[in-house]
Amino acid sequence: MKRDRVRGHLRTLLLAAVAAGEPQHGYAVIASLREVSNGVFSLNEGAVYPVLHQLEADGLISSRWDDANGRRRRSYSLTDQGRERLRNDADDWLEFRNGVETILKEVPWLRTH
Amino acid sequence: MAANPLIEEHLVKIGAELRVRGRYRDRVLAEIRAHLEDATDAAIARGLAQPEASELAIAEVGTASAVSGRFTPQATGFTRFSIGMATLGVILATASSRAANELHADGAPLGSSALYTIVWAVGWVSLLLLASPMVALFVRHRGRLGRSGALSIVALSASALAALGFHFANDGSLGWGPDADLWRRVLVVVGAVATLALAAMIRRTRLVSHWPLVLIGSGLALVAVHYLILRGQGGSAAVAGLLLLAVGGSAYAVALGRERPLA
Repeated sequence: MKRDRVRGHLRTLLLAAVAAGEPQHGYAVIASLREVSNGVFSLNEGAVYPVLHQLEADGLISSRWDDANGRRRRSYSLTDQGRERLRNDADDWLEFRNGVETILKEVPWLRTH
Repeated sequence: MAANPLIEEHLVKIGAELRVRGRYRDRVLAEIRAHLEDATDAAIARGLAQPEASELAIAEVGTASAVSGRFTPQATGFTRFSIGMATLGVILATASSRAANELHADGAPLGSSALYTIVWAVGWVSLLLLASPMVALFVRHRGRLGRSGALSIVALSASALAALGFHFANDGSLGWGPDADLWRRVLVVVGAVATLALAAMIRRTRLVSHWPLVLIGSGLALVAVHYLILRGQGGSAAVAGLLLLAVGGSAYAVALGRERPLA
């Protein structure tokens, strides 16, 4: 998927990735997005951390240092506010997706999935 | 665990270009280090040798300038509040000064009318409104700024107060008239100190992009204001100085406060 298209949904994708296996550190979040989406969401890795930090500054996720295998990592978890935002974003996205699908299905020669 | 020289080299490059400072800077570098180490381990697990794995991890995270450029510092709520208060102080002080000048046109003494007294009081209270946030910013950021930063805040505050005071005393006629020549000398000296200290602080912290241009512009503007003051055009010089200090001081305060509260 084109990176420009991903950018508009990056905050939601990261919230979802953090929620899927919290607490998760940055690399695990990126790897999880790549693996779960079968490579569709192959993110610009350096761009992810500033967005995670912005989500934290907005109170949607929290973080703490963890030490594992002699390596210090910052692990992220969703806050209550973040869960609420993710629910809203998911509802918005499903509504949007259903709308687009409905319109595409009206085109007889288009194969929709 | 032994340090990976390729990763450490890339971190040094990123660190050199990062515009965030303090504990947040340490956190950013630590997170990127952990990320690069994890990515290297993952690549080794896929069958790559150590150097190639690290090179791949570095390529995937991005160049030093691309990575560092994304960590843009932002103004904190406290800084926004301080800038707002300082700007309000400048607006009130300028407006009350002009109003007092009109009211005082017939030479009426202080207390001769309620309106004149109120305008007089608003003018001086607004000076405190301007000074307080600047002092608060200094107290908040003194640890990171060093001597040059501390001196620049004090000198900028003094310069702003001196410009306003000069305007009140000699043009606004708000009932306090120190010797104008002495006042001009004070303004010039304080302004020069403020410029030099600001230069040293901006250069040291590199909190402002294109700092040499900012510095040259600020210096030229201050010289122009002081030239007007020395020529005796007190009113226009002081008002121009106020505007300059409002804009420059706000930009400066934003630069000071553009540290994320994250750590």
